[in-house]
Amino acid sequence: MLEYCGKKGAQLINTVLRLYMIHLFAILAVWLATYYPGLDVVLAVLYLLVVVREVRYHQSKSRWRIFVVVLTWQLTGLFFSLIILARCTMLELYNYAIFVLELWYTPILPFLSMLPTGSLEKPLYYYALLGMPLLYVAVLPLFNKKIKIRRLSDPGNDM
Amino acid sequence: MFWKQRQRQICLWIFPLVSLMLMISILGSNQRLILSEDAVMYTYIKSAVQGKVGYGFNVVNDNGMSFEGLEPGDLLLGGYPGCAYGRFSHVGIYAGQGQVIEAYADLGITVQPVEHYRNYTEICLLKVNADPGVKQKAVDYVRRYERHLFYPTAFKPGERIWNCSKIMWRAYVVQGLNLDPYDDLWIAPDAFYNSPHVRILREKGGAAY
Repeated sequence: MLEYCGKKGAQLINTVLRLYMIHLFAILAVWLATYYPGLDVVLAVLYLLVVVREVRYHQSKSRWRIFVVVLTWQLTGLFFSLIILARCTMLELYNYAIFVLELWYTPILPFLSMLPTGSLEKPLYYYALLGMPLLYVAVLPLFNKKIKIRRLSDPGNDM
Repeated sequence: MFWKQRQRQICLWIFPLVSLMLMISILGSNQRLILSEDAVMYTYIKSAVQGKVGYGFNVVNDNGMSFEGLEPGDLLLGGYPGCAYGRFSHVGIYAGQGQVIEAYADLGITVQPVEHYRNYTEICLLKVNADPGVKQKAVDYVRRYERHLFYPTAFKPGERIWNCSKIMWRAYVVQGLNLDPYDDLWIAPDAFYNSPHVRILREKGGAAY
């Protein structure tokens, strides 16, 4: 049992670390690519494909484990999004939270730059940034291949 | 199985490799910046080493600046102590009738009352040496991008991603007037202060950085 939990835990940590590495270098790559307008959009699409592939092939049959993986990976975005929503002025974090949130979501920045401006109090990209952690956590686990296979073969048999 | 493993490795290493190639490409086409002490990237690096990150520390302030004499198209610079990118952290363009167009992370490019520049510790009003028609066109250019995306480290090329300095610089560059004396990858607010195409109308502060 312990060996099983250790193996599953190691798989989770491995996937989270891989997602972090992909995400952090995608921040750098997409930011640098904005120097060549158009290339940043191509890299943003590539980022989504790579991330979906990672989630899709994660070796887990439990949707909750995939959810935990994506949530752990997006904790940074979630934290700063909550700081802004709660207007938390502790440690001057609130003043810098939007900058950190923008930097964290640099890989999808090209898509945000193409959003219509909207007619709400703030531009549409601002609300999209705040909601991005939820979007990642809600949508990405749906791409996991193992979950679909489990539903087709034996819905009641959860490892 | 082999191909699946290979795919996993490609996914992991593609962005580090692309980042490296892009860095080489950008620095390769801007080699003079590597040797130039005035390059904005060295300002950022020096500031980071000194523990300065971001626009500095908000302090409750009233600099008592008068905005008399400003014309549409003139620039306003503002700064706080501890700013990572020089004396000034922000720039706006005067639009007339007590309004300034500027860019913020949460508002994008936005029209605001000019009075809030009295909150800055460092402030400078710059008169741009250009025809009134050119200056009005610069204001109209900036206004066209109202509510568009702000990103702090936006490079100069492109018209989708802006910061407060880039939009002001571009508003004049499209009309043939380059306000950046350094011809850098980015433009920091301090560059406008040192531009040969402006003269100082009024300033307060003057702390050494």
